[in-house]
Amino acid sequence: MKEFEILEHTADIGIAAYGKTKREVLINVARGMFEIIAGGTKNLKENFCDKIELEADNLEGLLFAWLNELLYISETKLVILNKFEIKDLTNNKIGAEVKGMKINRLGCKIKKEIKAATYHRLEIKKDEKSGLWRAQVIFDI
Amino acid sequence: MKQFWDGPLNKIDDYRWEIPKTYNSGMRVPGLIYASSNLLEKIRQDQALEQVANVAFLPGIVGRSLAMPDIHWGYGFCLTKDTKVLSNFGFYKVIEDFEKDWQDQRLKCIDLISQRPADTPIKRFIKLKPDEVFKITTKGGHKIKATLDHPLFTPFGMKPIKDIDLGEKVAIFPFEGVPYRRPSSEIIISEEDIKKILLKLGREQGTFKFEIILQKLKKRNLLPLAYNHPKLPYILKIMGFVFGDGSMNFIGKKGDGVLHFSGKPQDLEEVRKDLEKIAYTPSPLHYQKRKDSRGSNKYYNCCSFTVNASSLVVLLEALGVPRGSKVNQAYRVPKWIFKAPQWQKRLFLASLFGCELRTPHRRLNRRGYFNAPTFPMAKREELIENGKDFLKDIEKFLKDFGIKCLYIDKRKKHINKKGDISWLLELIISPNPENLLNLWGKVGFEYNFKRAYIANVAVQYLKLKQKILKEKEAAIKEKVPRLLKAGLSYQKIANQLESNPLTKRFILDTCWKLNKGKKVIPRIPANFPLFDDFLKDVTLGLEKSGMVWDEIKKIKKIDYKGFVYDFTVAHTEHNFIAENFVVSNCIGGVAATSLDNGVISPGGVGFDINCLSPDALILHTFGYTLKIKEFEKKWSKEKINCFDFKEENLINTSIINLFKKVPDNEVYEITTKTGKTIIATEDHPFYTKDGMIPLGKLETGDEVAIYPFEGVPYEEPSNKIILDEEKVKELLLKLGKGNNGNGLNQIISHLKKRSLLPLRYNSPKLPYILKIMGYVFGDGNIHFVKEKGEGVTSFYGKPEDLEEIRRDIACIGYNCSRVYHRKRDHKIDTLYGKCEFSNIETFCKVVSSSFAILLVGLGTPLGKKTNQDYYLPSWIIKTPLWQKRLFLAAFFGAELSTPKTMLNHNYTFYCPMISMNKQEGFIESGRRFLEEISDLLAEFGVKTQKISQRVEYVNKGGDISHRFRLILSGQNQDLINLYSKIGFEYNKKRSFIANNTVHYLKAKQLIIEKRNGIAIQAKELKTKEGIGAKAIYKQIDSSYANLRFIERSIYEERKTSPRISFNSLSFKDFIKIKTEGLGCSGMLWDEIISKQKIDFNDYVYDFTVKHPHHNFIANNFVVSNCGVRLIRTNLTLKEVKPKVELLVDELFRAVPSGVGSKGKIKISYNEIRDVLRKGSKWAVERGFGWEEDILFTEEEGCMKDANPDLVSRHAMERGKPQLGTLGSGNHFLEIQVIDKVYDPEVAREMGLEEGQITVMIHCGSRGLGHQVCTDYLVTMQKAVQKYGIQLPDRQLACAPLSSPEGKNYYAAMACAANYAWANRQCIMHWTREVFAKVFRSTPEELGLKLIYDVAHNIAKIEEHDLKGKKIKLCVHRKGATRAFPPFHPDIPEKYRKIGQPVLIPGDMGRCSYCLVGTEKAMEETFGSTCHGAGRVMSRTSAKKQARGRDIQQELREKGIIVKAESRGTLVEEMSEAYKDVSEVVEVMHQTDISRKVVRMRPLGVIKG
Repeated sequence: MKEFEILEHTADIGIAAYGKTKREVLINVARGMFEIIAGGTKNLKENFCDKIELEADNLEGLLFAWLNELLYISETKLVILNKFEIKDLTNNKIGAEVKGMKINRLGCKIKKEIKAATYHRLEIKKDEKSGLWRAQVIFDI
Repeated sequence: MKQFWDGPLNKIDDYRWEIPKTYNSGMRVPGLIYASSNLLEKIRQDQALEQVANVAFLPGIVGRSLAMPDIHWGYGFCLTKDTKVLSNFGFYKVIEDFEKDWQDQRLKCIDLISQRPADTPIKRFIKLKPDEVFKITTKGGHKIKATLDHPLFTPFGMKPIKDIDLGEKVAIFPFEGVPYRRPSSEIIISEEDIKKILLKLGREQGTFKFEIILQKLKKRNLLPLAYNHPKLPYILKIMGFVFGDGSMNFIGKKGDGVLHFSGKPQDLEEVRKDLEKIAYTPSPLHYQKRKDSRGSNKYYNCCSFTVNASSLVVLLEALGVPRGSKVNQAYRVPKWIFKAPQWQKRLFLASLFGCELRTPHRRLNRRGYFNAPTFPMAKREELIENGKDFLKDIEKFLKDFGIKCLYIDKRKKHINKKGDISWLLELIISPNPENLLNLWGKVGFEYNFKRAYIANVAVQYLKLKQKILKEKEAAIKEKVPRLLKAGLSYQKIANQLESNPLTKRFILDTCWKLNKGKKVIPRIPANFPLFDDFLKDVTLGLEKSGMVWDEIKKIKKIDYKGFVYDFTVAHTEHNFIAENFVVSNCIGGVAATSLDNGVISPGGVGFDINCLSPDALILHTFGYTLKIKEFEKKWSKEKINCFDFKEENLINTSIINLFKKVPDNEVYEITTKTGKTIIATEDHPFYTKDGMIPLGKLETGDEVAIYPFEGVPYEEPSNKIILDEEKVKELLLKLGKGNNGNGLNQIISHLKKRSLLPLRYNSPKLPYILKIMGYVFGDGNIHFVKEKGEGVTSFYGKPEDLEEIRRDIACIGYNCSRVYHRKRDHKIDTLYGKCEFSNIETFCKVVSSSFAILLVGLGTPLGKKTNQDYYLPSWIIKTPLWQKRLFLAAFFGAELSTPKTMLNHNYTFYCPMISMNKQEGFIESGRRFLEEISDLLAEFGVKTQKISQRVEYVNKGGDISHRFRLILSGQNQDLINLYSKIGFEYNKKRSFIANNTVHYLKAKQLIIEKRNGIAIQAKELKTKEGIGAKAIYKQIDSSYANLRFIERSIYEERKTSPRISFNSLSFKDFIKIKTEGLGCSGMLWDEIISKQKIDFNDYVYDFTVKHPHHNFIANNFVVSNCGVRLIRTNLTLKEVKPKVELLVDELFRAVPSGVGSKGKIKISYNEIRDVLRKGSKWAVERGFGWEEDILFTEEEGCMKDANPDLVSRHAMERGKPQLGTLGSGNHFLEIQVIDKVYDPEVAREMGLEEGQITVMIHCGSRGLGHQVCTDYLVTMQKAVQKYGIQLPDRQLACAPLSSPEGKNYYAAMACAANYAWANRQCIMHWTREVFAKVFRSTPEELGLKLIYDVAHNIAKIEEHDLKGKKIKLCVHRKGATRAFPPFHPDIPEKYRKIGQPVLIPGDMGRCSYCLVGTEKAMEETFGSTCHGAGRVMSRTSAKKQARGRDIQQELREKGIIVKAESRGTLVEEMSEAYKDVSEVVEVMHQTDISRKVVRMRPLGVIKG
């Protein structure tokens, strides 16, 4: 199973992420997003940790909030996140611990600035045939 | 034609179309589209109309949902069938005749940026039945027939004919050319002819020197050469040059053939391009100071280049080109040229004239006359007769073109040092005007840009003169005598005939003289301009493009029944030359929507139809499928590697199509035998055995060319340093190089000069270095010469592969020697006994210590590789996969065995193998190195088997060599991965075989699968139906299985999977068949096994499901409230030009930019609330700017409804550190010069004039704006449910304006807008400071005043007229700009009379505009207009296009200095990624939605 794939268009970029569980797909979609921002993020050293708790009306809203919150953290704290531990998860609540690496301006690792995750074509659902979860988001860049 | 939009469309008038409300029950208002009928055809192809309909869903929308698309290069169907079109080869052909072969043709066009003529491939050919056709005549007598919507080039840009008034100027390209005639297939040069020449040269048949020439020519498809050979035109041009300012000879001991060309740099570049087109590689231009040959002590710059190619010299000699000194030998114009069609003769002559014929020069003291053109040549005394004969040949040629020559002059004697006497002969051409018109209008000049341009102007000049004389003559000979006969008085005759150029006085005079029986000679009037003045006047603003201005004299409707035609050309300027007219057309636009006190939508603040580009759609279609990507790669790869005639075609016609074509035809999916799938429109051409064939005409079973190599995906390398100064110093000291004098510093400075130090992963030169290193690890050697200590790097290989290496070394910035040959005798003791052999070794070398040090510093072994330890440099492991591939592929080019099938099994391949020798004591490192290679291979999905070791031989010194072998897996999939992902570099032969192998293995897999299937089927048949082997064999009836196979399948258990059948093709035969006609290009024929028409609706639908197709909305939905401001200065181009670089550097320092940039303003939470509330005013209060700035900002820089309480803490936190930063992406700060004034009066009101310097700032509300949008999208999602709003797209989430959610969002958005204004105000302040510092003055003295600041993305409550009533509306302008008319209360007092300034930024390579708003915009578009250019290319494809290019340097050459935080931004933002803003602006101007005032060209650009 692929963790995620990057979707590209004239003016935008997006990702489709997969997972065996809801939890896994949410982690993969976040990974994919930071892959776009910073390229390979697997081997970053960890010197940043934050806890998030978010609520939303439905799963899609949760996905939207989750990604935008991560972007907010990344931009204001100047970090690249690469470890996402989802502690508790329901269809309208998510609690997670996220870890990553602080970056300084000079050794800037950021390849692309993502302004926001959008609702456009936003999707998260389980494919009944394959049993896999799939999430799709388009970013504004 | 299948169209994507099949909903209803009602025609309102010629330019307005309506989507009725009834189209979808959710629509509240109708949609309105501004477009011509032709344009509409194209708009229908994409989702633009669907979107217009979607917007109409928004509750509360009033009036209409508007669309003014600026997406297309619309091409009017507008020229009549007999219109003559000029090709790049200088012949014309009527447009109708292009129908059959337009794919292969290139047209002449004008590059408006460089102001030069250029040539372009044709993208599409269009044919249509017109309603009305008009005939247009100019003052100069040029005529063209076209439909009224066909645009011509005017001083105001491209303008449709209907909008051009009589007397208005249009651009004309006076060069006429000669008619096209199909050349015959008669052979000029055959293989035999070449052999004869070779024998004459003393080369013996069967020797290397003999055969190689034939081989080289054949490889380039140059033998046999016939009149209709596609490369002949280029050869003719090159020949013409060699007869003139070129020379060729065999030089040196080896007798290598060298051609030498000298001339002006820009002209030589043209020659170089043509040489590349016939697949030869010219050297770069070489500049040299030369002493004036006339003996004075002056030096002049001489520019030249050479081509090392014996085969070309031989070919040209066979064609009759003189070799060696032209003065000292007899030669004539080659006879065969006399038999060529006229247009081919012209190519030869024009290029010869480009070198030799005098520039058109006016005759002194004779207005309207030119000196007789002369054609000089020098000859030794004894050869004078031959010289005269040659000139007579030229004379004969010229006769064909209707050009008369006067005589041959023998002038000036010259005696050289040896005492040889030579004479200058001159062919004098008649200066008769008709004669000159033919000479310059039909033959003209090639390879001489300056002469061609002057000749063009001279043609126009003479035409005007001739016209006047003709009219006068008609008056003298016919009109006046007739009237005199009728008995009219002189005065009456004069009154009747008076017209321009016949003056009353002239007629009276004529009457009198005729009556007296005197002769009247028509003369040009005294006010006829001098040529020099004329030249200045008619090329004003056209520079040296060769175009001139002419006036429209007559436009007449004509009766025309046939088809009309047009082209779409690939060149970005989108024009071509028809009947001397420079024609094109273009339509742009923008959409704005409006809604009443209904809803407000953060995601739907207007729809920016800019982005619904059908171009994007097609890019999507192709870019999406992986298989098509392979195709893309294939083409771009071919372009780099191979110049085979066939690939050339591919590059020219197809890669551009891929990016720019509008899908307007049936869409098909084809699958080939080896499983390649391609989706394309029916008119997309594919390369087949019969040439380029549109997909629509291909059938199952047809073969198309496939390039099996796939490569690996691109990944941006990091910015990390691999090698720095310290490491190099360390290394040098270790090698003992640092001790003597300056050596160390010199090496360092050599590396720095070439930007090789520090060397980073993303250094543009690294890819070349990786390849070179890979090769040195194999068949290369680095050592330091003993005495001088100079570093020498040698490369051993085949000559053609070494040539590639040499080219790459040049790209790194070093010179490589030519390829040497030497014979070597070897004696080796091997395990199998003594072995003696001799061979010819070919090698080349780089003599440069810094080059050697660079390679060694990067980990390349120095000296003998067998007796030292070395490993794979660890930094290579950290490079992206594609870079690793370069290293590996080059290493494999030297070391990996060639793919080969087993001796007695023609279908199975040997395991690939890498071997290396190591002497005792270094064995471990050898093993480790191979293990490291094995690890790298694993990353490409290639498995390895084992590393073997054995004693190889003992040398004279008694040292024992061990031989290591890394044996790779021989499994199909591993082999396919190895050869299709990595392949070979610097080894054409292996690369070719590897491609074949991949293709073969895929075909083989297919056969095995088929046989597997048969085996299973056979078993099933046996168990189910109980029939025997024979019956089953009959029933299955497949060519993949014989009876024996069936028997084995059902009676004997197979232990392994079935093997390939023995009647399959062997690898050897396979290659032979599959590459027939494709040579060694690496391309192979693949059979189409299925071709299916895809329902376009379904197809797009499918596509959107998998892929974010509609994300133009996503793209535009964020309320970043970006905007533009324009600042004027008192400075002129002259003052600023020398300081642009300094200004850019200083501004770059003063204005923080780039991803995640932080500003230098420190503010508290309380203070940011102030920013959000007050906008620009906050900045001015803090000292960032002047009081008056506020007056010149839209809304006075402050939305009054802003309420910081409604902005989340998250948003504030993002916004706090970013205040006063430019950000990244398309935002910029530009120093510009006004290069065109359209409306001088309005410009003066604004304080603008031509040549003045301005500064434009384009940026927005940064992270704060994004967060506001994100926050409110969540709220709106809920609101949509709460208020029961039904929407077609969630992105349009909204809430009633009167609801709390709606009100809150409006207040929060106002905050973001205020933040954006404050942001731009701060940046402007720092800009002023920088200018003051650089010019040692004050901002006041420099006149750094704000012209205007206007927002691009904003929703505002405004008062508008609706059905005669004044009503308050919320106007959503997303990707749109406010454009209020004169006397609107919301515009500053100063601009009250002229209307609101509108600022339209373009891309960094082209230009920007300042417009003013109009009443029309108020009536039709709620006071809105377009906002910019809009992307046409995705960021990835921009990157792909820019690979290997230095965008910064390219812009610098255009006179634009760019500084950007990252190269990535630069590439993504390059000019080609955008539509041409001029086109967009033109539509707004034409429809009077806003009017052009001035155009600004960038000088310096700061990017994020």
